[in-house]
Amino acid sequence: LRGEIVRISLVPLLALWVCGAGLVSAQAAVTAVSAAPVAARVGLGSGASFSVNWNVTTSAAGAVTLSSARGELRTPAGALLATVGQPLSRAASGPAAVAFSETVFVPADAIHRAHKEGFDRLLYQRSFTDGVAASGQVTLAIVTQRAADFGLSRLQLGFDDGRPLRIAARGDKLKAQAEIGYAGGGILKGAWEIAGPNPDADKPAWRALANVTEALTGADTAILASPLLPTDIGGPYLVRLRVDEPAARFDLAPIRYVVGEKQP
Amino acid sequence: MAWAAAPADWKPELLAQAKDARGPSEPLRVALPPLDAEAVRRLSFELDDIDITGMVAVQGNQAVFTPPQPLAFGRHQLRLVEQAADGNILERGVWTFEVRKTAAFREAQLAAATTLSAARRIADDGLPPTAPGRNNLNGAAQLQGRLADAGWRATGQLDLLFNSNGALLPRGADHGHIDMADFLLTAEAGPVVARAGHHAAGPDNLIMNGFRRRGVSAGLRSADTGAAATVFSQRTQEVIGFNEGLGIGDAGNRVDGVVVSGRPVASHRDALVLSVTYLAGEGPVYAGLPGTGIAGDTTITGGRAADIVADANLLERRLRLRGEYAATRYDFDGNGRDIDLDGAIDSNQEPERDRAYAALLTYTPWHDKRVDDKPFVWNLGFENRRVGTFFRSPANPAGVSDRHLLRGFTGVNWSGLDAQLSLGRETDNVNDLSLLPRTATRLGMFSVNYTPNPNLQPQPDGSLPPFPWYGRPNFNAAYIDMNQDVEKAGAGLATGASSATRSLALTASFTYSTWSWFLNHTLGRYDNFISLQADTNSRLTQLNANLRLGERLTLMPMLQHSEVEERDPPAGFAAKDTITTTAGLSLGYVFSPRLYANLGVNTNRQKASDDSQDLRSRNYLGSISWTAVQAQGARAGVTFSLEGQYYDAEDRVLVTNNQNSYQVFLKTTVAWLPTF
Repeated sequence: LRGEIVRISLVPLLALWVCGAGLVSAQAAVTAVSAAPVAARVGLGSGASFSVNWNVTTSAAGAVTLSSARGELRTPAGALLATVGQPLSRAASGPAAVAFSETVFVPADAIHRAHKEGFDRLLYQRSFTDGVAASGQVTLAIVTQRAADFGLSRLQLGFDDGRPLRIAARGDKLKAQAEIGYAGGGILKGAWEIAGPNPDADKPAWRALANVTEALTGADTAILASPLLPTDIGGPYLVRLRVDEPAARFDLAPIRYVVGEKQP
Repeated sequence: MAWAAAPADWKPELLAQAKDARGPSEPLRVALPPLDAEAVRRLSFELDDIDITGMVAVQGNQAVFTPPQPLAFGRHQLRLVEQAADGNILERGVWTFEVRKTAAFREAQLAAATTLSAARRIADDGLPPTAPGRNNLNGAAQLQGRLADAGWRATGQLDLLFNSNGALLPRGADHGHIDMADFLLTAEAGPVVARAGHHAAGPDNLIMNGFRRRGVSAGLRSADTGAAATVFSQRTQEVIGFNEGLGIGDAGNRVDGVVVSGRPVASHRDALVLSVTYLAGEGPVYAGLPGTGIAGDTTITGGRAADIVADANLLERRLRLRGEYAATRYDFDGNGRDIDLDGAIDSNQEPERDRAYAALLTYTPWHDKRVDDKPFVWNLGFENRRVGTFFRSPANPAGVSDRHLLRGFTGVNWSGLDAQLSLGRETDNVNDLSLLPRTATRLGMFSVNYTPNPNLQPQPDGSLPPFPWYGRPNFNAAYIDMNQDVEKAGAGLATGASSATRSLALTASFTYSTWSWFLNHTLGRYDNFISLQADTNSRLTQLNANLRLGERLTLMPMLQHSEVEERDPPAGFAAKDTITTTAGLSLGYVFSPRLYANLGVNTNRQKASDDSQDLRSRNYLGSISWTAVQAQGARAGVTFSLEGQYYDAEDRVLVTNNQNSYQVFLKTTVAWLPTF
């Protein structure tokens, strides 16, 4: 079913003309919004990340900006469960089909409320506009954590003693570790990366220490250890686990260590 | 020297210390009567029941013991005995003395490990506009202190960071140039223990696991009965740096609780341990503040939880029985959610109650069994763990709910061989909710580890022979097999096979006297039979080595190659393959104890067959350092360094990631490692 158009909300042109109060050309309209995938599975009891590609078609001629202010999680009956406040916007030359990609985090309480209200699914909807709006949606089936699509629910980085910041001495053997909460199963792809000493905090020059290709199964918590971190040159360093797949909505922030001296 | 004969009942005397407190390195002086050489030879000295006679010098009419290493603070016993000519042992003197730092405190120490570096970038090219300024000052300090006297002890630990570029500190820019990592203050007085700072207040169990947070705790423990009680109050959300004080000021972001444990069988303290935990709290359980490295759901939740554990060791510790029961009341949206982002709470759900239990049995038939004159250990066990669908605790953010696991396992250890086998079945939807499907998963894990012990007999000169050509090897194989089926249909899932995962990891390492190497190959296969995800095959090969060539050169090369192939993608998606290769070399050379150099080379290549990823990078990092003054005691050390970094990244998909730059720094580092 992926790639199909699931729902197109075409607003009558007359109503658009009234609502637009003359600001919008009569020819300009988002005529179709499709989502891929059209359906995903989220687990009851925990938050879930999923990725969606929106394909938005506009009939507007010439330069046009397509935008969506927010996404909405709703029950099939239409009750609002939560709002995803990340805007999407892209300039295009119409008429055209414009692609948007986003990764959405569905909070656990939104899934829980839909379930308690007697639904086995919830809907993620987005309305796109170039002056005239249309919307599309993804159906999120509520299943168990094990049956859910592969996705991260939580990531905790720390060093081998669990602390998120370490002062190490030159030559120390130091490793980081990641505690990963996830739903479903699949192959996690990513890399352990460091930047430093004394990196650019705004745009760190990340260098990969080791790839991560790990089969995660069982909708559980996995612990991955990094290779030995460099401690031969003094100064502050940043460490992160870059996750390529599955996508995670939340910010995978780095942790820090400083190489200094220690008591003999 | 001519000695007059001492009376038969002579008494030695331990002379008083020179100052008001006896220090750890202060010589012990015992006044003796005039004794002839034969009588002196018959004397023996024991310090804390260790014979120190060989380290005692007789100077005039004193026997002097100068500790080769500082004595520990606290009470010690010195004993002087004489083996009389008739063979009898005569105890001439026993003294108990206390080693103290000062008259006021038995122990008082403050140790600091402080490093401060000033760096100036003297050359660069290609740096992004966001690059920090040419000059940087950064440092770190680890402070540790302790005070103690009879019956009480206080310790403290604090890590501090400094950086002229505040963005490199845990909380980021706009929070000043000095920050704190974490701290812990501990005070003990008799049976009372109090802590403030980052610590874990209780044992791991179903409702509190890995919960190391900033907060306070106070407890009582009885050395006689083994009973203990601890009350604690800790911040729910992980925090770092100079904010949130002790972490307990926000009632909406705090977990309060109590842990009580006891050993009710007085005659066998280890036979049964009972532990009860109760806690209540709210806050963003699954996400941390910036700099803590924790990311997840930021929703504020809340709940209460109680847990009881009984852990018994029976049959001379051959049989262990552990049972645990827990109940929770968890509110998935805490005080409610602002569902339309208008700043007002629009929805507030009722809390969910649920429960969990876990039972574990392990049996070790023998403790001292030997086969072929080598120790043989065999154990087996069974586990039954059920965790309800809505079982959640604010102090167990990584806890997994909605599982019912039945598992059997066994392990053998003999002659360097260790084998473990585990077989189990796990189901979900344990609360039997009508809207949910149920899956059943068969779990199989087998691992074997073998470390042969070579029979290295000492050579005639007493030295050990060199390792054989293969060094001292270690071999490990681990296999995991999981098959998941949908057992009960629901939410669009039909019954039948759902997914299968297999993983095989083979590792070999070889260790020699000055070098070692390691090889690993891991195969993974994931099959999804419901076609909402692609099937995947993965292969990962790693080679690492650590070589010391002579006394000066160390080399650490590494190579890692992975391939991930997708098969049978869902409709509308194309399968892609991803190939990643990383290679690195770390080199260290010591010209002299004060002059040394390091070089790190790293290259990475990542390519996806659908061109969604096409990245290559090369990095060089090198330094040469000269220590002008070695840090020692209260004397600061000074090191001058020349450092260079070269970074070349080419991302053919996200071209904004491209960077080709180098920078060279001159750096002066001052290290100060005093102990007071």
